[in-house]
Amino acid sequence: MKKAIILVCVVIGFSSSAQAVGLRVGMFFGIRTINDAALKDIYGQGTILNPYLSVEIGKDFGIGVGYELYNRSGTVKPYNESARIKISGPEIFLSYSLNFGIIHPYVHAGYGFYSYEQTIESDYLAGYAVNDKASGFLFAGGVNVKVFKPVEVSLELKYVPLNVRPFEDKVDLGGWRISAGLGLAFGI
Amino acid sequence: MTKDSFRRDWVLALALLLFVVPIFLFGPDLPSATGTMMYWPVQSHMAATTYFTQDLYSVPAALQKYLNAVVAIDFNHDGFVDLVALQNYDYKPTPILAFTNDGHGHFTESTSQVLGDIKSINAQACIVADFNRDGLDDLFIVDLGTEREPNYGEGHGYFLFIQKPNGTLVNEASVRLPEFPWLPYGAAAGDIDGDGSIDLMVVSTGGPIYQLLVNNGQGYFSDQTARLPVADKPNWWPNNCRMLDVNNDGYPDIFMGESAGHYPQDFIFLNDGTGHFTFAPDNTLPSHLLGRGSGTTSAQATDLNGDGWMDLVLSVFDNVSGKKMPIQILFNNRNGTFRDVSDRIIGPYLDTTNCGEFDRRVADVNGDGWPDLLGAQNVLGGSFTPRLFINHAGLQFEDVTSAVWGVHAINAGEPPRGEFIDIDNDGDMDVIGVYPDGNHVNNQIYVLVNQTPYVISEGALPYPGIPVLRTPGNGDLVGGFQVSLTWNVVPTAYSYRIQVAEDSGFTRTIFDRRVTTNSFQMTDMIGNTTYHWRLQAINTRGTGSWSLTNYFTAALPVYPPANAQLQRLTINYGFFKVYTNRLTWQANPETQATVINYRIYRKPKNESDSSYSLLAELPAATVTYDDRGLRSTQLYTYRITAFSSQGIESEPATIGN
Repeated sequence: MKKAIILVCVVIGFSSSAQAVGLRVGMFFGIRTINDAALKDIYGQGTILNPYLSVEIGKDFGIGVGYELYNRSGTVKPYNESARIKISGPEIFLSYSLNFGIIHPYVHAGYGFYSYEQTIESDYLAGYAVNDKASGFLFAGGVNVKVFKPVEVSLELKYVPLNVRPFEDKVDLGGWRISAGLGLAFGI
Repeated sequence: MTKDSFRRDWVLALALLLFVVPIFLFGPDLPSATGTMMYWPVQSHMAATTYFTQDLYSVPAALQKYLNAVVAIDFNHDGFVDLVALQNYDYKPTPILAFTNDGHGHFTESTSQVLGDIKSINAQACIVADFNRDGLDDLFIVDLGTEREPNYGEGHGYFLFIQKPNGTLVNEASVRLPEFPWLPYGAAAGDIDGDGSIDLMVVSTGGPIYQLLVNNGQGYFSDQTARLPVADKPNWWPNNCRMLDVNNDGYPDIFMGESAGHYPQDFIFLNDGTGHFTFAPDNTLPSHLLGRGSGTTSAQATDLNGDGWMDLVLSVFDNVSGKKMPIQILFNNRNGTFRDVSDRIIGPYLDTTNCGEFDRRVADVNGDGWPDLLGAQNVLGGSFTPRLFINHAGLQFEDVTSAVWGVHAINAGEPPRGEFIDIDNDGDMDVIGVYPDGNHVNNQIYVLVNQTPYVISEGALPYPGIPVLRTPGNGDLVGGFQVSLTWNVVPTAYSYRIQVAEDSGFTRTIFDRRVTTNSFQMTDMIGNTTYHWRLQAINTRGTGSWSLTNYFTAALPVYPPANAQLQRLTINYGFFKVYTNRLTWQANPETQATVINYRIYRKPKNESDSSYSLLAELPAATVTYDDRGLRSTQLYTYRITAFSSQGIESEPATIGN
């Protein structure tokens, strides 16, 4: 949490010292991986939705917020029990972008505040409810391509390292996301 | 009190003190008798007061050679067994000795009066029986003769001592027996043709040469070897034999043992009921206990497990190592074939303890109704110690030697010869054997006297009352293969006669035994069979009346599930792991009953058996069960039982983490 507070202060610092020059809003849709092998075995690769809003606060810098939603069902062997996992939560980030005409490559660094939940249909798992929160840094890079004003399409690769320990073992919920987005850019 | 008497009392008191204190300090001396006597109390697995004392009898110096064996025979028909001792000295003719029982289990040497100057060279097998049917014990001995080149076999032959009314034993072998064609080694006796007279079977050493001697009823024997099958088995050298009825047809068959180990198992000659024999199928007997290369040196036959069928106790010798010589026990499958149950023998020296090469090594020494075993432990350099195995209802044969005879080994010398016999006519089984001495100065006969104190009351003891049968209840259905028959104690009774039969008229008797406790463990019951049982109480006055007859039915046997196994599965749910104990088993092919379900019981690992609780009851078609949702620390032991349509639950198969 301390990291998040520091990050928010930095973002606010940038905002107060720079003049807003543009606004970007849109939605990413993509796929993500989960590092944990057991979860990967149960759920495989899942899809994410990631709406975002960012503000250009300088020539190359910006700040933004987003929300990532991952919701996936699977089957646990050997008893073929139905399982569902949901990982979601808000994200804040700083961005740095370059301007090459209609192509704007960028990188993000930020922090996410996620909640995770797993439900399994089984009569044998009393005491094993999974419903908790976790936070961590996120890193992303991508490119925005202006199609026609104000519409742009985006392609982004993001990585979130996120370790949790709801029970005895540490579980790596981190993983890669590769997403395509469609958004609107105003004043950029 | 005068001064003198006062002084005298003090002197007496002081003397008494001086006498008593050392006794208390150093303990009471062991009881002594003629020769050496030792005294050992026994432990809980024997009757609490059962023990043996030992008497020793020296061979007169003039007759000292090398004691080879001792045989119990009542040669003066006074009702007390006397002894005949055999010697072996450098394969030279040595005197056969006689010792007369004084009626109290003590012996005096009486060779000249009983036998005269009779010499044997290398006696091997001895059989006591009334061959001429005059009511007196006779004695048959085979003598191997010299076992040394260049005159190997010289002097071999038979002795047939016929007891005369004047208490002498006269060797009449030359007129009553044909000659043996080779070197006689082992012998067996039985009435092969049902004519009421004892016939003889003799086997040789070094080849398949044997002789069947058929008694004409007056103790004259003819060679009827043609009644035996032709020994068409290469390298088959049967050198010991035993007559027993393997298939319960009422006619003795012949066990043919071979010590050389040239065949994987021994063979049996089956009696067709007329005294003619054929080979039983090769799979009648299981393999030798130590596999190929091991052989059988002797066999004893009796019903060890109370099922009414003759079982076998074999002495095994491992020709490969030359060192191992265990006991092999074969139970009759109640169809004339046998199975190995040698794993029921427990004891400290099983590899080096067998039953020797003599007769009468199986008898009930503790009055529990079950025949026990007299073993011979090969100690060092060819010397032997007798060992006693108590039969626990056919389920276990426990070496109790150290408890009964003490840890002070009784060195029986070599060869391992001794036998059970009631030496003092007190109704229990004693043990006789020999201490050979190669220096010809201290050859001794030992007698281990069974001192089980049967209650003997004085005065006008009434006949014992009628026992009241307790369990099983009349008409009960009994599961499993064994049942504990119990009854109320009858005051003044010191033993009971128990009869179990397949019919209420007791014409098809399963067994008829004497026991000293008020319970009897009946084992190896046959499923769907109704058993009738009754009792008489016995005391020194006599035998009481029969109890009422109860009956019970043995349910069809239901065995524990076969091949029960446990597999620990890890179920990984990503955020946590949960474990499953997967139990698998198979229907037991030996189960004759209809299994309607399986029951699974569970207890935490390392907790007592009282912690078992029923976990699941599954239909009979199910042969797997998952105990799910377990944490890593949850470890369990399971029992799986089969439950029959007759309401009988099997013994459990037990598995665990």
